Amino acid sequence: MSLTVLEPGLLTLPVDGGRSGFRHLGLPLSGAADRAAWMLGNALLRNAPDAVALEITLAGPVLRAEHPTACVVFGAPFDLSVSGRGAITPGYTFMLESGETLTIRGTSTGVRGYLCVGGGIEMPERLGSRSAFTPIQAGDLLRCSPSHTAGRALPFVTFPEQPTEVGILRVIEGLQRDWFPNEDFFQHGYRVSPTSNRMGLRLLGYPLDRRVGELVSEPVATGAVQITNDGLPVILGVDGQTIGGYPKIAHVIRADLDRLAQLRVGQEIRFVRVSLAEAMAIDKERNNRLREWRIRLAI
Amino acid sequence: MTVQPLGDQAILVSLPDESAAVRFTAAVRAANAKWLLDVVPAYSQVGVYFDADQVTMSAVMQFVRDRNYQSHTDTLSESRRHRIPVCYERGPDLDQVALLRGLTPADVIQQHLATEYTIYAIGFVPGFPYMGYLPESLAGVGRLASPRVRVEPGSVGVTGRQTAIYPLPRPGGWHLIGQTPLTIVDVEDGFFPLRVGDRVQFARIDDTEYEHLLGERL
Repeated sequence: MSLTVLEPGLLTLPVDGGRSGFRHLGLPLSGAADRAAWMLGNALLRNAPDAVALEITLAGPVLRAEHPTACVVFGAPFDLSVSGRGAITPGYTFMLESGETLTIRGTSTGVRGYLCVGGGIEMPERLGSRSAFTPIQAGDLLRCSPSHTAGRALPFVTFPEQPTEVGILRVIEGLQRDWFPNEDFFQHGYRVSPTSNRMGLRLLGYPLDRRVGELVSEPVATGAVQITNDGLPVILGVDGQTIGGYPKIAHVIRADLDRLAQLRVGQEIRFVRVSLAEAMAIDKERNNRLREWRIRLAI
Repeated sequence: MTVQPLGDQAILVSLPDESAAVRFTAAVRAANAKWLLDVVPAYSQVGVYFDADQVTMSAVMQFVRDRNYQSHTDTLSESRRHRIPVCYERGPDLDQVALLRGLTPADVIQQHLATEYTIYAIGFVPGFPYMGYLPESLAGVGRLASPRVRVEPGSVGVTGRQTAIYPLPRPGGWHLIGQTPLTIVDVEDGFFPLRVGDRVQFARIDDTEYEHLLGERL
């Protein structure tokens, strides 16, 4: 008894922080695409940091509570309402009482939000993670314990706090940077292609000239910016491949990986080059800010 | 060995050959560093993935340079053999590969069957075996200009000197010359019969046998 799925939404996936230790079998990182949003949502409910939440994509599910359940939707600011009570402000914790229905519709900005529930959703661990391999379906029962929250929120609903930053992706140079003879990649903007998903963000725009040749497939990492043979970039996402043979012109820095989760089809992207030292400093600053909010929420 | 950054949470280590990569992988795993997330061998290279909250990239680079991997076992020598049936009538790019290599489709099939391949890497998607090396006559076919949005499970592809089987429906950029009816991966069940170092021999089957074997496990 917990939450019954009345409508599944476009692509609603139970996620945790992902799996590590299985890349050698070809299993991707998996888990929450926007880790900061998932963490902060859990922190708002004082959940364990690795609690399973529902990742909602563009159009959310309709769920019925079978017992009192503390909830929050954090990340993209989805339109939410509870049966008989009307709209709920995204980013604020709220109670879903027994028998009430939560309807999560669309979002005007961003792509993904995280429905966290008090204590987290119970999921079996498989290959080092409790993230599901397949989205939820109508009729599924999502198990969780009864929980309670007094309404609370952060002073922002997206992280980073300025959504305009989302289209700027800071990169360090990739291993095959020298396959590309000029600066076109950094000078032209790109747009997100409709074929993008959790595996990769495909981009449209200026096709790059590249050296002729084929690469022996080599290990790759989340955030790698590969250039396919039509000269266009594909950025590897959390469900991205573990080995690849396309040349990598650049690599999105760790601190900006969550942004990939919130880029909408057609949105403009610009790549900004940073050094490895700068990437580490940016990452540290961001981690400190995240940690500070999580500590404040734990009090 | 050469060591290069692979983004800001991993490094790529290049070793003299495939066997050295397997031994180096074993040496890194054996050290059991608490910041180590993953070690992924592929051909003569190895990706080492670390927790950037716990360790710096320069420390990881020093750590891998300090590994004495020569004494570690090369699991290539303890390999297993697999026979994998393939229906070449189910390869949408067979004619194109023949054209690119100046061969007949029958030659392509015969050449693809002529070699026992070694698995040099598992990856790209769960359980995807990268095998080599294609005979000279088949080598050098490039990737598709734009990857297919969906490749059917069991599809057998070629590119460069490599051949592989797509275990799951995924986007893919290799030329497809056939399809196996066998299930070679079941992720949810933890079924991963193919490992780096195993040997694979393809065997030709027709459409009737394909239908008969469809869905069986390797």
